[in-house]
Amino acid sequence: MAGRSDYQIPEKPRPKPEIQVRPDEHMTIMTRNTSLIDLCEANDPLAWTEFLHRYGEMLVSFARQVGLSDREASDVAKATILAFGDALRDHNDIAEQSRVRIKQLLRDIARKRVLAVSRHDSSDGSSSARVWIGQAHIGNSVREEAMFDLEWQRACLRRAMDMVRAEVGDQTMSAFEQYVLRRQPVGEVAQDLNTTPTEVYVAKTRVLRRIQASLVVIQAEE
Amino acid sequence: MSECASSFQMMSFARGDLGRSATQAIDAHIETCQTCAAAIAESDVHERLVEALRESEASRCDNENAVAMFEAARAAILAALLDRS
Repeated sequence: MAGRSDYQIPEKPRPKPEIQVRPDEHMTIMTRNTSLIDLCEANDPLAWTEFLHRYGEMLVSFARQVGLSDREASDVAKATILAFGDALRDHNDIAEQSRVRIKQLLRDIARKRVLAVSRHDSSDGSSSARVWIGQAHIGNSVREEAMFDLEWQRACLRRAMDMVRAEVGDQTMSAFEQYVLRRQPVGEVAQDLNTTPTEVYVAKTRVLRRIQASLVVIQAEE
Repeated sequence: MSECASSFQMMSFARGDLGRSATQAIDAHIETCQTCAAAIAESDVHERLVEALRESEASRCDNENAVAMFEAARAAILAALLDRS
């Protein structure tokens, strides 16, 4: 795991806060980014849980996209989030700015972490061919930014799906996932779910319309 | 709405361009009309969104192991974040 030298500050004793939530518990409220950062800044455990849910996977995916291994990608995501937490805590100006540009801050930190891991691999000779290929992208800011943007968009889609999942019934969501995402024939989906093809078509239309509406809300935050 | 909507109305409905009452009417109509429900669902109005969703799901599968490693460390990350604050 790469060090966290970018945002180190002198240690001082702090009271250890109690964790009020299970580690795997996902905050069901769909907080706006700005409010989420306010709550993280206030050290709200639920807000940090939601932050991890919202950005953890996309950071892992970004690190994988540029060619890091599973373990390295997981470590980069972890280091990025910890560094973001430090930046939020230590620099009031960054905390203020982060309300409008979380994406840019996360991207900058993640790119530094990726670079640190790739340099470490190169220096100890442990680079695999896959990582070496990935390094063609590392340090290429245009390519990295495009990859980060793609993963950010996918994270927005997943968040929109989460929002819709909370709004519609299980049957509707299952019909959508089987018919649209897994491309199962409509008749087969209807039979699986003990419903009619019409209901499956309607599920697709309704879920897509809701995803679109959710994306408008999510994109308006950025 | 008992009669089927026009193609234009159905595509406007799919795009979310219709007013509230027209939207509600078509929404109710497609619950009982398989022809219209299929026409709207099979239209290419949402093609790009559907492709993006499929790619997002495929990417999720590709990165499953790495994400699982991250998830396994999530409790420790959360504790570290709270401990540092």
